[in-house]
Amino acid sequence: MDGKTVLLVEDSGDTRVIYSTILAHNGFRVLEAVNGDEGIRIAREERPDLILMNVSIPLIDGFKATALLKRDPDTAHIPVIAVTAFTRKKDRKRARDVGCDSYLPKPCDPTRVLQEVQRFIGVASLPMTEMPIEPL
Amino acid sequence: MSVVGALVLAAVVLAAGLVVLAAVLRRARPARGNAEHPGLERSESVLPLLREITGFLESGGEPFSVLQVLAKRLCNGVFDACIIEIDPDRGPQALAVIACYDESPLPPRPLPETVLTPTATTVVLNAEEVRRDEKLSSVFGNLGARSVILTPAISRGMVFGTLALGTRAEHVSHDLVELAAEIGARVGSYAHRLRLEQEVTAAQQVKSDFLAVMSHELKTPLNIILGYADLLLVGLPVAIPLESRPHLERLRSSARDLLARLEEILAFARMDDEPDEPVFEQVDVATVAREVASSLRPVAEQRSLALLAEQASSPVFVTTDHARLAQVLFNLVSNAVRFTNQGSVTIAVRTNGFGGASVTVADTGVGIAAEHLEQIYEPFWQINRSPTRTVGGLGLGLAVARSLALSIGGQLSVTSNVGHGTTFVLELPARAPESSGTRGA
Repeated sequence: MDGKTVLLVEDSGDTRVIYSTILAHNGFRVLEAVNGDEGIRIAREERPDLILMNVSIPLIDGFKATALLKRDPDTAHIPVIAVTAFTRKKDRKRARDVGCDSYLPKPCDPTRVLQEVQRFIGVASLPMTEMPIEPL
Repeated sequence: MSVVGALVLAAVVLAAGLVVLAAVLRRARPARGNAEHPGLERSESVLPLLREITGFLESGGEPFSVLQVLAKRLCNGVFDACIIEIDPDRGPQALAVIACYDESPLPPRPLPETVLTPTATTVVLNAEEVRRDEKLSSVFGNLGARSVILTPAISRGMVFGTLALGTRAEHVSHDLVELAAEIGARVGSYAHRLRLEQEVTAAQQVKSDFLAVMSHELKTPLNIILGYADLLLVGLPVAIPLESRPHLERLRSSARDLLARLEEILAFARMDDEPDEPVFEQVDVATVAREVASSLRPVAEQRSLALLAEQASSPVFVTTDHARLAQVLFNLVSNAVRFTNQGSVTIAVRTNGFGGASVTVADTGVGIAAEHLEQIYEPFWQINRSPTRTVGGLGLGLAVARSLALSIGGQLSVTSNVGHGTTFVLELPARAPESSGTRGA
């Protein structure tokens, strides 16, 4: 498959709309999961190119889910970007310890999310849509 | 001699013999103190004893051990038995300690339940009354306690427990009762302090939890507002009419203000918390200043102000915590920008005479009157508190800045000229002192 896939694990519906809109508009295929269990399942089944993991999600929190995925040889290679409102040093340390590859503090503009995703997996190869874009 | 006379003589001899026997027996057991002041080995040695007691109570040990040590001491030369019941946290679990009787080699043992009837004043129970109290006599029974002094562990009129101090002596002197009352007062203070410490710890935990929840719950909707505003402004899902742009930009700008206020409150509320472990490393202060300037330049430009970071000719290194230094500078520059309506804000970094660094933040703003120069660091203090004031913010930035500055061994000072501008100077040592990990007041 040519296009790049991003798995978005986020329980807030609005936040999913916001991030997936900007990612999809920039050519990424976006998969969505609303809790940790679903996130792990989809990651294993679909092997996305990157996972955007909100930390405070139901069932299994983002850090535990990340730890599980990083231990699984089938998904360990997938970069995980943690997204969270908890930004103390000990939270960042926890993120590193469980294997997160990067960390985005909430609130986070969609453009920053996009930039961070692109930093890891580059610009998507699917053609961009022709909408007129005004720079932020 | 008549038979009667012989009998009387025999009775007298017998009586005398018994008296002598009693005296011998009494003397055989070393008399504690004297009959007038039973319980005190030396009647003038009260002060050293009280000092010892205070020493135990201030020792900072685990409460149960502290009270055991105290009970043991009280049974060693002062009283013959001792029960201490303290309930500092008003819970069902009373800290009850009983001292084994005088000179017992065994340590004081805990009681399975409370024994003493609480009292608000010091009372003396005689032997008969002790026998009638089932619980007391079950504990003091085989001691043959002649009297028990019951005294409250009292502090500021609040009763935290009871002490029972037993003695085998014939009489209880007034001095001994006074001493008992004094000991009760000291133990009361101790229990009061324990309770206050528990309350403080509980309150801090509540605050910490509150902050964590608030942080998350308030930032999430803000994230959504800003997210949608950004998308709309970029033309997602569809391009918006040009006329709509300003409204949307105002919406986004207001949401950003709200976020800034939130960050300000949270930073202030976190001031007293266990801080993140500071990370002391070599930091180029000039670079930090430049980074802070770039992050605030957009805001300055919106207000038509020049924001200049004077380029140092070479790096200016100090050993400090990068994040805290950046936060202090950010708060100073952010304030400068907010309170300046025209002209410029300049950040300059130099080495100071002591191998450290000094950072100057100078603005051409409204200035601060001399009488306010001390107050500006007070939380929530602002030059103009009316609802119609034009400068936003909560007035917490300087409180946080000062606290952080102190925590990295820095000093903040300010000079100002009303109508002309203000200059803040942050002096940093070459090396932040290790012990200043905790934030200053």
